[in-house]
Amino acid sequence: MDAGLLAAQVVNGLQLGVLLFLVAAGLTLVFGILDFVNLAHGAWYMLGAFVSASLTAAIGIWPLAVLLTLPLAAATGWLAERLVARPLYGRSPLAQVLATFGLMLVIEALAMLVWGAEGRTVLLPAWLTGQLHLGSSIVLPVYRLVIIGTGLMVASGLFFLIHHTRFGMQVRAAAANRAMAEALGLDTTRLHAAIFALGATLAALAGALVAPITEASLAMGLEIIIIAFVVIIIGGLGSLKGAFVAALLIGMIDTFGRAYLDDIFRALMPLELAETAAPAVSAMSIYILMALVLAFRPQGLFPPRSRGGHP
Amino acid sequence: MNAVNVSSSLPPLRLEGLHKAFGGLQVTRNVTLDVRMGEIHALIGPNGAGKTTLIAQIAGEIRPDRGRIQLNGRDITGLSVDARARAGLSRAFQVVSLMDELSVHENACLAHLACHRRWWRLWPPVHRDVDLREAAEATLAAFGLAAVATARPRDLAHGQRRLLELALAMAGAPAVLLLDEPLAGLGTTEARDMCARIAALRGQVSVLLVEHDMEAVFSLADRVSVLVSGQIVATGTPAEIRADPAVQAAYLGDASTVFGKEGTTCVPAGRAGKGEGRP
Amino acid sequence: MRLKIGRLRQGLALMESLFLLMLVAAPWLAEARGQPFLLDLATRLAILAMAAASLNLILGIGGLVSFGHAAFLGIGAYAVAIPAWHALYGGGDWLASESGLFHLMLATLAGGLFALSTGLIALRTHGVHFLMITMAFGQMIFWLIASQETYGGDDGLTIDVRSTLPGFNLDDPIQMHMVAMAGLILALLVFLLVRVSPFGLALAGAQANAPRMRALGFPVFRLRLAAYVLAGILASWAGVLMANFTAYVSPAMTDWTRSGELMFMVILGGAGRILGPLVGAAVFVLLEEALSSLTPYWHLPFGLLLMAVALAQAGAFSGLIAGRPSSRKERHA
Repeated sequence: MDAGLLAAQVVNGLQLGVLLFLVAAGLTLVFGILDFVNLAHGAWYMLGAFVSASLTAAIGIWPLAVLLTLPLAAATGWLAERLVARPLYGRSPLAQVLATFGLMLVIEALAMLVWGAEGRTVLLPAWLTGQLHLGSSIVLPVYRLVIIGTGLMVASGLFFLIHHTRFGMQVRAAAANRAMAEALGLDTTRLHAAIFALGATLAALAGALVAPITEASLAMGLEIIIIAFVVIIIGGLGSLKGAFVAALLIGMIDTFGRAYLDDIFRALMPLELAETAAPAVSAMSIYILMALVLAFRPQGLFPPRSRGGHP
Repeated sequence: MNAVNVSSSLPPLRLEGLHKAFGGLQVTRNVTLDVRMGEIHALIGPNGAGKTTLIAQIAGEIRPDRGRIQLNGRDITGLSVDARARAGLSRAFQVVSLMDELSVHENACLAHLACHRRWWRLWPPVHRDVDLREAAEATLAAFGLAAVATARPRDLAHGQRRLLELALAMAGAPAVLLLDEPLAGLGTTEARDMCARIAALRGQVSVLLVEHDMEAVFSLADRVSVLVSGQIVATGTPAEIRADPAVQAAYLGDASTVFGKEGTTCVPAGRAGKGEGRP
Repeated sequence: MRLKIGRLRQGLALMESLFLLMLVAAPWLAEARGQPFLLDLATRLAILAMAAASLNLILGIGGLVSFGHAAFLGIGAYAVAIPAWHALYGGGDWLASESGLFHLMLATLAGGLFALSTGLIALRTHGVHFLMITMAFGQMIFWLIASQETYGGDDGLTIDVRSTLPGFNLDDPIQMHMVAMAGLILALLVFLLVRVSPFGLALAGAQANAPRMRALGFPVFRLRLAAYVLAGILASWAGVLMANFTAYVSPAMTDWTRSGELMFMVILGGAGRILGPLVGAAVFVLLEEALSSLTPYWHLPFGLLLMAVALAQAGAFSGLIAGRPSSRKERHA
């Protein structure tokens, strides 16, 4: 096994995992605390990519463009919460899903209006395009390491926020028992808006980070939302820790599957079968993982304790 | 489901050594209890004694850590909720639990479909099944609900909802009935009516009755078990329980106020006043 | 007010029945108007309505909100495409066939197995959980199909032959339409049968209050699984029809957004109503045609409509049209 290739796959897996976590974190927080299914969540991932692309083209400084994207994402997230999410709190998940599905389509159409149907590439500043050499055989792209680093920093910041700040305590209180939290004087309306905005911002950050690698495209929001759902299903709906573990797990399994499954299958079975099975299994790997986890733990790996006791 | 005991020596319901803990909290401690054939066996205890958890274990919602539950001699400890129901265990919920979106009549139809296990039938359609409809109507009539058959349970008064709850539980002629606080929230007249109906169950079905209304308990029950801190501290006839010092101690304060006068809520079976105590 | 609502419902049912008749007569109506493309529209409408009717079975009766139903359309479609491909290009002898009956059998087997295996896992959850899991399983099928380069992968596959059905030539648009109408009517009849049956009442009871139903003895899990498999098989048959109609299949047929469209059709027409999927499919197809001819950004008005429908459905408005008061589907497992 080539050390260089292996290292590259590890980096790729971690990078994917970290980005998935950024997207899934908002989704799981919104679900866990607001009891709201947001199918449009992927739209912010897409918008983050496009907005950062446009800003980079405009001002020429990519890191600044990314930073400027974030408050825009927060603002639009806040707006979406007020206009779309709030009227639907407490409603059947069907209504929420249909409404946010509609919202996703609306945002996608608006994005097409603004940026056209083609994708946008983002050019990284020169100092990020380099490579890191470890030993004689391992060559790692600096940018992917930057993504991993940024993601881990944001993740730890998020955990600190939730577990060591007053805001975080309010979030956890509302998650545990909203009615009680309200009765104790917690302004859940503002809290909900803040959480929604936070989730949108994280998703936009992920989009902005991935754009230089995969280019911004209209379909990326629709594609990422499903994987984000798988992450939070495996992790446990509402669990941040679960989302983190599941995201990294999925990132690694998906990456390693695509890289090595072909070879493994060819070694294990006749060529014809391997040629059909390998691409199939590697494409389905995260769903197979999900099915396996659910078979043993239908509520996911780290389900938060439910409020009000569903039987 | 049949009300006839397969073997007359086996109690319809037997709990043996049930233990349940949540985290560090021992909620059920070595509970052993028998409900005898055709009796009304009351389960009482102060708040927090663990009655709800015990009922949940018998019903199958919670698995005990240790111990066995037997229904007519059959070990049902590992069975799911619906499997136990099919074995002859029925339950009337503490918080009235009905199919609110369907009509009262449809609720009754479901109960009858259940007892005949007809849930796979695609034919005849429900509205054309004369036998089913008549059975459902008979059940409703028996509980005084014929007039509201087309209404939805959510539109009924609380007393009527409680009656429907009981009607559904009894529709299948079960062997054992878990009756969880059937009098909660009822006015005096309704409570008396409910008491009379419960008293009339004696002999038809074996009942485990959880109630807070002490007057009702002492006039209805053949035997009483007292649950304190997850443990059964006493089992006996109402008179024995009333006199038991351990039981009196468990209920803080003046025992006489708790176990005081004879029922004004319920007229005891066999001592019916004129014109009262009809099923 | 009650009288008006009753009249409204009656009027609606009448209109829907008329529409169904129109749909049957579409070939002749289209010819009369000199617009053969209308027949195309009608056939597509019929097939989508059939798929929506199968979703209505589990969603409208049992309250199972599956967001992966389009996967069955794809399974059915590829149950035609793959054997047809092998029949033309060789290889996979046991699989090569142009026989419509073989395609239907294969679709039934594949769709049924997929429904059974995913249902076993998904139905242990409810509400949002169930929704997301079915969505994920649907997307899994997408990736399974897309990964097979032999059968076109991402790009899809054009089918040069049609399924051979004894006595029918599916190349003829009119006969294709008639077969599609037969499929739709079959699905509607199955729905009707279930809806009024004890099985259907049990499903409805489970939606209303699953714990109570279990306490009465109903095997809720098994009942739902059976409905789920039945719905999946019906939708797979719709997929077989779709492949024959469009002569082209692609993994995009299974995309979760397609499942969303099916769901929209069911909801708009009134979940639980027999002809509801027909109305919903009609609105969707006509809207899609009208809007996409107006603007390439037709997702915008369509998305807004979805949001409006969802917000309206969330309120009491849905109760009037759907015939059942709007229920808190989330409340009970």
